[in-house]
Amino acid sequence: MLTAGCGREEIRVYEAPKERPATATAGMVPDPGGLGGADPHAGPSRPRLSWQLPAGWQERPATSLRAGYFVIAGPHGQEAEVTIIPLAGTGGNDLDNVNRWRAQVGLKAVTADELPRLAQTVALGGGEGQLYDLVGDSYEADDQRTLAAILRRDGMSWFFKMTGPASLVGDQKGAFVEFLRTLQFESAPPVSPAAPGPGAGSAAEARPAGLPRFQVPEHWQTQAPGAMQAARFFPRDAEGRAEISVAMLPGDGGGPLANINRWRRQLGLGPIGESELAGAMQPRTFGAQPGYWVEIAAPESGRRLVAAAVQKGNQSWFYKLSGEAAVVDREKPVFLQFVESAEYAP
Amino acid sequence: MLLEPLIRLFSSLRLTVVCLALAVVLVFVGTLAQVKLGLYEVQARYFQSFFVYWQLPGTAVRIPVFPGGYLLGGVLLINLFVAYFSRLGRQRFHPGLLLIHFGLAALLLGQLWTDLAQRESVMRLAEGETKSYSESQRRSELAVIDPSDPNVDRVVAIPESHLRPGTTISHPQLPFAIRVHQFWANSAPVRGDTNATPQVTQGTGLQARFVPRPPVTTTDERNVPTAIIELLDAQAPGTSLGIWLVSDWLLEPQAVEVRGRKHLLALRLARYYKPFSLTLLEARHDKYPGTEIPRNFSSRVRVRQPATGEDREVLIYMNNPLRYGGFTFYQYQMAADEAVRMRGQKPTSTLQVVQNPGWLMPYLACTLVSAGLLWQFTGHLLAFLRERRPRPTGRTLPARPAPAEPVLSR
Repeated sequence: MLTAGCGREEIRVYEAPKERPATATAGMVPDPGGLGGADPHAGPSRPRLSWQLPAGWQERPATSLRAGYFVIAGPHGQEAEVTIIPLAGTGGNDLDNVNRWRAQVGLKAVTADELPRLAQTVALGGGEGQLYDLVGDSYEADDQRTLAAILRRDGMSWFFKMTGPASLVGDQKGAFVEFLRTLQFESAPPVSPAAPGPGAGSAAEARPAGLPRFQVPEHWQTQAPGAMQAARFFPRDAEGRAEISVAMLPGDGGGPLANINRWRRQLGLGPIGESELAGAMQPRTFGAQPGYWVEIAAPESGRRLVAAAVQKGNQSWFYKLSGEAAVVDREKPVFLQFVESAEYAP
Repeated sequence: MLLEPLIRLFSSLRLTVVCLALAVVLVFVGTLAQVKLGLYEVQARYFQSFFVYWQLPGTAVRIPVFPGGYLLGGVLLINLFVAYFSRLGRQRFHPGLLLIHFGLAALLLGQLWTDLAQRESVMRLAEGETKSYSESQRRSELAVIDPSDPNVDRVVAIPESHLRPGTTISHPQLPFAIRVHQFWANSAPVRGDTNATPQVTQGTGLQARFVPRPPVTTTDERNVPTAIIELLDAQAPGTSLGIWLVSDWLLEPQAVEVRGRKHLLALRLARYYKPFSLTLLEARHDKYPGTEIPRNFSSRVRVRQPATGEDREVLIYMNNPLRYGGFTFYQYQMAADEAVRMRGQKPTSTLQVVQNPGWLMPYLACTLVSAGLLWQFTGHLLAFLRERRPRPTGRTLPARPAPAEPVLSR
């Protein structure tokens, strides 16, 4: 026993059951953003993808990074390629991704304000994704063009990209959009459409499973929700200065006093007592649901918070707008409309 | 004679006390050392070793400064046996003493057995997922998989301890030899697919780049190793099949073709396959209403054993593990609360899988010691009661010799 304990581990040879059918799936690299002590195996398992191959497309073996790889030959010897790359998590910021693709075709970077105008919502694998069509300004024959679509689904980001000579990519755009539409994931998404990326437009319905359907104001940008949050946004022109978050808690979420004191604590203010509660909160009906809202200001830090709580069945939904006083004041009417717009799952 | 002082030394009660005192100090110092070294490193350095070493700063010289767990346990065991056979004389066959001594020996040996044979691993399952293997939490292996059989994969698993830079690994079941160029016990990927690893000529390493990171020791982090290896054709010595990057960061294996036959290459957490499978049907993380205080973590799993046709559902929750096939499955970690579901992610549950063939030893040892003590004390009590019985008055009979009184050793 002693020698077994002190000896080196041996090379093992064994037979293992097959893990997966031999479908067109290959390796992937996890999202290298924000690694810390992250465990690459802790993320959600990647669903399998199937597709209908458009005419003229040749399927090539997928590599370790790509879940799908296709080559399209043009009539004059040109060649375009299509790649499917899945990444765990958000796969990075859309603005950075789009600007990287723009640089690859010789285009200047755009700002966060300009990004939504470039995005086109397309049907993608049973949900909706954002398509960016990036073509160089010059009309030279060897000018490159990129079509890139992003889908966020089940905690993963999928990047579908066609790159090649502008004329060939232009000819193939219809086939690419159709290819995206007919993509199928092995299991249907819990709720479709999936949450769209930034710039989905005014009627964007950010709606992961269980989240109410609401009208997101045009100038708000969707962000990956933090811990305990169901959704998160910020006003585009005030990134880092104000934030809107949505969260759900079962029951009454601890009651108004506990919640108001939590928000006060977040602004660095002391708690209030039961006797001051009636003066601090304003009961209100949002849509058809009962609720209340509060406004808390911290003059010393110049910060302000508007929060609304809506009771729906045995759940409490909390909406919070917080940040610099000026931005919060400006966003307050839009924020309350946003809370009003929520349609809750029955 | 030399034997006599040795027997005197190893049978002395003083040695027992010294060993126990040193063990107390070792446990105390080892517990403090966990702050810096982490649980597993301390286990290896302090308890699963004969000596605790101190490394001379700036050198590779290690000086033993304190007895380790194995040495103290070993000396205690020898002490127990030598004392039993040398000091007790004929009394050693007394049932009470026999049971107590062998019970203590079973306790020490059982702990050694557990230490050497116990294997802890985890099975991480998303809802709906089925697995027939568990994974080590700390040890990685380089797996070379031959997928040519339609029913099973043939795997040659090389433990990460073999991946020392400069070594060449050969195995009769491998179609190539593996020369290790680099091995990083912990690593991180670098964003940007243009920054390929320069020396790599094949595979994912052409598109992805990794950098070494200092190894982590805490229990809530783990090392993610990366290696750069060269494959050398086993049948054509000197023929290189390219330089590859293998990393536990890559979630899928890379394909290597050797003389028309495909093999898969993956550096991954060491896997332990079982003859049965578990499917996670439902993971639950319940909280007390209105609070974040957890009320219940439970996993409803389906156990399928193809050999016997067994197919049943089991609920695993805190303090209610599943004991099956020589393994114990404990509820360990969970990502299944509202936040996970609202983000549209699949809930996951992690089960700790413990295989400990010696798990009965402590029970057996304690039963032996208890029975021995009971025997011993009952004997004393009966003798004492006999002593106290009032003697009849009048003429006394000639005194009879007193019965042999058992004496509790040491």
